[in-house]
This record gives sequence, C-alpha cells and structure tokens, in this order.
Amino acid sequence: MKINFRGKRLLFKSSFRYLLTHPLQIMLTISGIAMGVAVVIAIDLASSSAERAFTASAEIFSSKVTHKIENSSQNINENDYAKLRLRFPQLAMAPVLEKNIKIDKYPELNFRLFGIDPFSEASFRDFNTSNAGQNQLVSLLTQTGAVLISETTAKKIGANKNKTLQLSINGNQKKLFVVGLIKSDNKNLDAALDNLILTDISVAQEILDHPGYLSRIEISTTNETLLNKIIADLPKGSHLIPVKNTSHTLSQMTAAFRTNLQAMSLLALIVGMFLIYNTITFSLIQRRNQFATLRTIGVTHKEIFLVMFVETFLIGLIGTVLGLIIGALLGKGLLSLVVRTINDLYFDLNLSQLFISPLSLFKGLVLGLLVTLLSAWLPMREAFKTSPRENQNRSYLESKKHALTPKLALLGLFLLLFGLFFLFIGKNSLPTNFVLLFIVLCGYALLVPFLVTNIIRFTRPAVARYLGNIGAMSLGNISNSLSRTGIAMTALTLAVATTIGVTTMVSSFRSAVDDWLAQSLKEDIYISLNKNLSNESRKKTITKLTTLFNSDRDINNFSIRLWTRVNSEQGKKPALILDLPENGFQKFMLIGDKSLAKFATFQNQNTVLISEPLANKNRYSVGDNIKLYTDKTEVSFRIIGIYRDYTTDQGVISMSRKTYAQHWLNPAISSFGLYLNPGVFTDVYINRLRNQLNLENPDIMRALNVRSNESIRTQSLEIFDQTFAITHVLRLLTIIVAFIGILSAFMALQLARGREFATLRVIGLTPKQLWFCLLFETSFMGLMAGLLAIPLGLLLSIILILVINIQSFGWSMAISANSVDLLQAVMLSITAALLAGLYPAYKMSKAAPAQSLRND
Amino acid sequence: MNKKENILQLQNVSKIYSQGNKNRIVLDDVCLEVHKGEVIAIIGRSGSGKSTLLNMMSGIDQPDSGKIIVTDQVINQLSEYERTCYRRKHMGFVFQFFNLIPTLTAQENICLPLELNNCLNAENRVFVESLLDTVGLSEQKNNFPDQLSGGEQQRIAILRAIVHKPALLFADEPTGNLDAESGQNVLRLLQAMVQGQQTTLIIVTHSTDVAKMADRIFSMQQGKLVQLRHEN
Repeated sequence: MKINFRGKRLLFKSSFRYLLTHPLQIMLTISGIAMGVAVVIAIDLASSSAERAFTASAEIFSSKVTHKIENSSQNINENDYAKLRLRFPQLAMAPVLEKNIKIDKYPELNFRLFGIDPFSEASFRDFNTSNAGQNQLVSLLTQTGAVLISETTAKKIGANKNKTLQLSINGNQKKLFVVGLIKSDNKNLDAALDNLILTDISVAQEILDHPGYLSRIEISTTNETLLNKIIADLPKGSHLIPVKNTSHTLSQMTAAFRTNLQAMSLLALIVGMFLIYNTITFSLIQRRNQFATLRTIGVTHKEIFLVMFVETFLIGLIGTVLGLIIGALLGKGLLSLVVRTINDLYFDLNLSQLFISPLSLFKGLVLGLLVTLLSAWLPMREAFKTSPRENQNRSYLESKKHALTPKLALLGLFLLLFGLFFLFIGKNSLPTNFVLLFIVLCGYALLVPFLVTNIIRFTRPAVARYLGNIGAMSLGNISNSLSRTGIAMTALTLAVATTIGVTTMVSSFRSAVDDWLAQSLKEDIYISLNKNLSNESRKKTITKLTTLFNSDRDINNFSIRLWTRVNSEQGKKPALILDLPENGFQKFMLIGDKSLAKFATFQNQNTVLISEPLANKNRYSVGDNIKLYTDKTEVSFRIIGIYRDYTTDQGVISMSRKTYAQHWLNPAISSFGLYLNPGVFTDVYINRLRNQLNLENPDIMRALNVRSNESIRTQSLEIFDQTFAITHVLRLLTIIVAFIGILSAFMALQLARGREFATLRVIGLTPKQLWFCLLFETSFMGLMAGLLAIPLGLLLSIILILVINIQSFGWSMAISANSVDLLQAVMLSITAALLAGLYPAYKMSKAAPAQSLRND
Repeated sequence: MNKKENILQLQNVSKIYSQGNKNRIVLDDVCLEVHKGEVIAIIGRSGSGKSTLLNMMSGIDQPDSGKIIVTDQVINQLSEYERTCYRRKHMGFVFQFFNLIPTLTAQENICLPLELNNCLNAENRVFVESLLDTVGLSEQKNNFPDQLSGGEQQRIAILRAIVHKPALLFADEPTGNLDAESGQNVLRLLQAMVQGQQTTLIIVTHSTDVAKMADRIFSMQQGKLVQLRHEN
C-alpha cells in the first residue's frame, strides 16, 4: 500500500485529539500493552542474563581449556598433578580447586571460590585485562590468605583493596586479605566475575579445609599423541574428558525451562492482544459516524486506515517503551527467582545483577509494536472495508458481530480440535507444542462469544423472573454489545483459565512430589556428610559411623548412599549409589514393566534402575542396556526398572554399591539412612546421637548434618514452592493484564452508553438501581468468564502435565484438580469484573441525565 | 432557448434490498436529469427511498442496474476509490445531524475538504476566514462542534460543503434538526451559497417549506420518482 502523508494534517490532528479526549481509555490500553511487554521482557532479560553468565563464565574460565582430568571421587590428589607436571613439563596444564561457598553474613549469595596456581594460569585465564594484573596474581602467593575479588563482590560485602576480611565461611572463621580488585574491561564478561573470590590453590584448600586436593586439572592441547600419553599415565580412578563448548551444554540443559518461562510470559502478551483488539474495535465503533462522514466527503479507505494505523502505532510505541522500562525493573525482581529455580533444578549459578541486553530490548520493541498492530489489524481492516453507508448504520457492527459469532465458533472448534489432535498425536518439538497450545487457547477464545450468547439466551427468562426487567436488561446489554463485551470476557476467560491450568499443574506436581517423597524417604533419619570434608576426615567419619550404627540397638538397619556423576553415552549423568536393606528397595516408585526389578538382581548383577526423565528423554525401556564409562572400561548395564523421580530433570542412574564398587574406585559416601526400631522416637534418637557424637568426637559431629525424614520432606516441599514461585508471579501478572483489559473494556462500554443511562434516569431509574444494573452486568460477565475458564483451565493443565511437562522435564504425574482452586478462580474472575465495573457505575450514577443527553 | 447543460443524469436506476426472504424494490427504474445550477428537492415519506437515491447520486452506494452520470462520467462504473476521489473534488454534503468532526474546530472542519484536495493554501485560508465572517461565526472559529449551537453547527457544515466549490451539493434534511428560525437562516445561507457559486443543489427533505426553494420538486413514491413541480 502506497502511503502518502501529504494533505492529511487535519485528519491526524483529529485523530490525535480523539486520543487526548479519551485519556483514561488510552491510558489503560497503554498500560495493558506495557504490562504485556514488561512481562515478556522481564523474563527475557532474567533468563538471558543467566545464559550470559554461563557464556561469560565459560569465556573467562574455560575458553582455552581443551581437556580436563577429573576423578570419580570428585577429588584429585595434588601429588598426581605434580607427577603429571614433571612427566609433561611443556604441556599447558593448570590445577583448579573450585567450590561454591556461603559467607554467613550474606546467606542469600553464592560465592565462587576459585583456587588457582598463578604460575600455570597464563595459558588458561587472562586476568591481565583487569586492574589486578599479572603481578597481583603472583601477589596471591606472597600474602597469607590473599584473595582477589571482583569489584562488584567488593561493593556487596563492603571490602576494599589492601583490607583484611574477617569472614565466617560455612561456619568457620577465616581471615582473608584483599590484594586487588578484578575488573574486566569487557562489559560482556562482567557477569562471570560476579561474586568471584580468586585465590591461590593453597588458600582455597585452607578455606575449604581440603588440604592436598584439587577439583580438576585443566589441559590446553590438541596434540593427540600427547593426549594418549596422558591417558596412559592417568592415576587410577581419573579420566581425561574433552571439554566441548560448556556454555552450549549448560544452555541446552536449561532450554526447556527457559522455553516454559517464555511461553508463560507470552501468554500475558496474548491476553494483552485481546485488550488492544478490544480498544481499537471500540474506538472504531465510537467513531463510526465520524468515519462515515469523512468517507462521504471524500476521505478514502486507505486514508482512514492510515490514520488508524498511525494512531495504533503511537499507542503501541508508547506502551512498548513503557513496557521496556517496567520490564527492566521487573526483570531485576524476577532474576533472583529465575536463578533460584536454575540453582534448584540444574546447577549453581552466581548471578545477582541483571544485564539489560540491547538485543532483548530491541526484540521487546519489535514484539510490542508487532503485537499491537497485529491485534489492531482486524478492526483496522474492518474500518478499511466498510462503506460510508454501512458505517452510518448504527446497529451494523453489532449485527455483523452477531452474524459472525456462529462462524467464529465453528472456526474456534476446528482450531481447538486441530491443536489437541497434534498435541497428543504428533511428536513435536517443545516450541511447536507451545504454538499448538496457543492454537487451542485461541480456538477456545473464539468459542467464548457464542457460548456467552447462548448462556444469556437460556438464563434471561430466569433472571427476568427473579430480578425483574432491570436484571433482564443488564443481561441483554451484554449480548447486545457483544463486539465490545465479548473480547473483554474472552481476555478474562483466558487469564483465569491460565490460573486454573497452572495452579492445577503445580498442585498436581506438588502432590506427586509429596507422594514420591513419602515413598522414597523410607528411612527415619538421614545423616549427610559435609561436602567440604577432606578425604581423610571423610574416611574417619565413615568408619566411626558404620561401627556406631552396626552396634546401636535402637537401629534396625541402615542404608548408605553416594550421590555422584557417571559418564554415559549421553554425557555425565547424576548417579545414586545405594547400599540398601531388602525392604529399602520399595523406595523406588516403579512405573511400567516391573517384572525385572528384583532386589537380588539389583544388588548382585550389572544392572541399574533409571529415573523416568532419563528414560523419557532417551527412550529407554526396561530390558534395554545403558553403556557407562567406568573407571576401568566401558560396561553395559541392564535397565531392570524405571522409577518415578523428581530430583532432577537430567535423569538419575541408580545402582547398588556392590555393583558400583566392582567398576569404580570411588569409596565415598554422601549420607547414611537409619531405620529405627519400633518404639524409638526419631527426635529423641537424633538428640541422643548428637550428644553422643559431640562428647566422643566433636569434629565428626561438625561434619555431619542429621535430619529427620519429616524435616527433609518439609524442606523439599519448601524448595518446590520456591522453584515454582516464578510461575505464581507470572500468573499474577497475566491476571493484572486481564484486569486492565476488562477495566478498560467496561469503562469504554459504560461511558459510551451515557445517553441510554440518562434516558433510564429520566424515566425514573434511581442511581441505586443504576448501580445495581451495572454491577450485576459486570459481575455476571465475570461469573461467565470464570465458569467458561474452568474447562479451558483443566484442558490446559492436562496439556501441561501430559505433554509439555513430560517433554520439558520428563516427569509424569497424576492430574489432581482441586475444587477449592476452581472456586477461587471463579471468585477471582467475578471480583476482577466487579472491581472493573465500580468506576463506570460510580461515574454513570453521578452523571446528570440532562448533560449526558446533550453530550451524546 | 438554449438547451440547459446536464450535470447529473440517472438512467433507469434500480435498487433492490433483500429483507430476509423478501426483496424490497427501493428504486424502480428511476430516470432524472439535473441541470447545472439547478435546485432540486426530493420529498417523500420515511423509508420511501429518498436517502438511497441521494446515496446513489453521490456514489456512496451502487445501483443494481442503470447508469448514474455526473457531467460525462458514469460514476457507478468507477471503483470505490475513484468514486471517493470524485466525491471529494466535485461534491459537497450537508447532513441532518450536521456531522461535523468533533475533534476538529469549526475552522478546521471547513478547511478539511481543501486539505483533502491538496489546495489548503494561504489564499484559501483567507477565503475560509471570509466565509466564516459571512455567516457571522468568525469569533467561534476555534470552537469545537460541541461548543456550538445546532444552527451554528449547520452553518459550519454548509461552509464545509461548499468551500471547495463543488459542482454538486447534496443536502439530506438540512433543517430537520433545527428550530424554525435557525432552519430559515440555514436555508437562506444554502440558497445564497449555491447561487453565488453556480452549484447544483439536491435536497432531500420532508418539509414542503424547504422544498419551496427548489426549481423542481420530485416525490419518491413506491420506488418511482414523480415530478411535482416544474421550473417556473
């Protein structure tokens, strides 16, 4: 379409003045767009900040690393490093001791303690760009407790260069000396330095009480011959692992989580789309006479379209820019929730600063404008197509809408069935499934006006009988002004359905996790060993405890477990190594084929049980083999069962300690589980154990964390609730957008009916009756939106649980809808609608009838 | 006597509207010739098809059959876009409910057709000022329509209709929403304007008083156009 702005100054002036004379309506539309864009941008900024932190971290810490040597016990003796150093003097090789630590004064922050050998660092990490410089790296060796910290970390903990830091780390008092501040010249890499404490490896060993041990040895070479020689010389239990694009792997790991967040945030924008559509339609209806006059005196279709386009574009631009600003602020708040979920579900991430990515802002700008123009397209097209004669017909649009309603319903039904068919039948990618989910939502949305019209048709006689003509008139108004009320109700229906869908999904998930915890936490007491324990202390503690538990008369039996990672064909996977009594085997909530899952087979043969996410994501079935790289060679383990597990969506491989010991050289233990004899009270026993260990060996007691089954269960559910906190926030934001939408629609609708209300007032309707009439109308709309949201909400939860969740995380669960949640959702809908009706009702009841009659 | 120049011709124009299963003939083979500078009044009962006829003549609506020729142009053969452009250049409209653009001032409403025709220049601005002066609304030129009385609004509407000197001026019940005195003032203004500019005026009205100002009066009766009064 050729656009010519010449000779249209007055048309634009008129349009601009229209916007100025409807400030509230325009403000609400702008708010709706702004909130929709803000939610999407906030999520995008928070998750892209997290992703950027991975990438920056990989860039600074491991970009030059080609291989690393790790041990299945997760600790490498530093003597092994010394031997390799002597054997390969020319090889670029660096020892690293790395751990996330907590400083007691800042419990909300994770600090990354990175121990290095300053002399080996040059080939790996380049901190020369910082003001710390090479000299200060060496200065780490000259001062006791010397550390380099990032400038942001220094600000957070009130530290400064050449100052001593007295900190309590993991409960132990440590004295550190800040020899310099690290500052990257590259802004993009700043995120990786967030909360970093860089120190010499010996200081790190001292801080962690980990003398003589390393986390890994890093190597930088592509010389295959040399690498083969290293493999031949590796100490027992160690592996040479190629490092392939770490940030990419981490990014893949969280892809499903990010897609879910983005989809949820887009839902707020979709609800916002309905609101924009509603406002533009309303402004078209309001100006139909004006457009008819303009068309009659010679303004072309294209000119009317252009005016509306520019008007919409301006509204979209203002709303989007505001949305970007709110989004950046909101993103700061959401960042901690996103990081917490990543920490709970995936890996430790140190990030507290939101990075405002220009790309995210640009995407938000384009998205906001695109969504605004897309939503306004239909009403603008209607304005474009309608002839002056049709525009002059007052009831034209309403009658057109009514005629269109059954056709839209048919289209909606088709879309609904289409979406459902491909969701449940097709094997689609996650983004495709979200698109299908949105098609289902849109399909249902198209059905709403049809359902509303018919509900009103059937309820009107009853309302007329019990509430008289005023009640019947209110219902009639909803149906008669469907072009305006329909969209508002649809937006509210979608928002409430989202609430129902997500609430049902989360509560089903919570209930599944609760059941799973009940079954898998069979032991009465769990005693875990501090992760930072040195190998000697660990050995001593394990021996002491094993002796104690074997002789304790209060203990019926005990289990031993080790959480570790094993290399599989699909990369490193979490592994749970168990030494269980026979009755402890029931902890596995087996699903599917259970015929092979026998305790004896699990204990004595090369067999494993795998968790559901691992099976779902890699299409493993019972009876298949899974190839694992042990400390000795590659071994195929038979899968004898698949069990329900919500520990991690990466999947878990479980095997008996006996089987593990045959193939791996790691003797470590993570925790003990105690089965108490009947009649022994858990709390009493825990107190007795603590007292006994404190008396006999206080060092051992400090290295232990003793907790009851009950407290682990409670804490697990607390972590679950924290993990899903972001879901609740997004749901709330969607409701806010819908509320703005419905408020805007009701306001516009009621204020436009000023003449009608004035006539009613003139013929004797009291202000009180007018209040009743309007509030009954809006609350009835809220009730209908709430009721219509129930089937869609339940459908949404089924899709989320049976399709999206399984695909994203591999977790299955039973659907448990709660009638209280459904009732709450309906009440929420009615309340939102009622609140939205209050101002128009107040305004209308206060308006002088004569004035309204004159102004119309 | 020289044959008068036709500005508008309706040749066998018919229009049928369907109402449910029934068809209603609104215009039945209507023929009409309108001369340049002539004033034509069309009267008839409500629903007789007067406004439909006006819509056909102005190109707002399309006949089912027949031809509508304005000067030498068959306007019902033009596209929607061409008819709109033709209207903006050669036609003016006065409506019963004034239909001023509420978000433009009185002066801006008058300037609108000039701007649409890309001829809003300094000279024409002076012309608009003089027109406002003529109708005694100079002081209200910056008022918005809702700050004007009905009579004032209609005077502004008339100025908007004639400001670009159209060949044809259509008035649909121009006094229908005014009191007797305001109605008379508006009629006088309308008459003065069309006479001054040699514009052809076609008025649709219920009022016989309004129709009296016409050179010829037609009545719409069952879809047919019946001439009631001849020139002179």
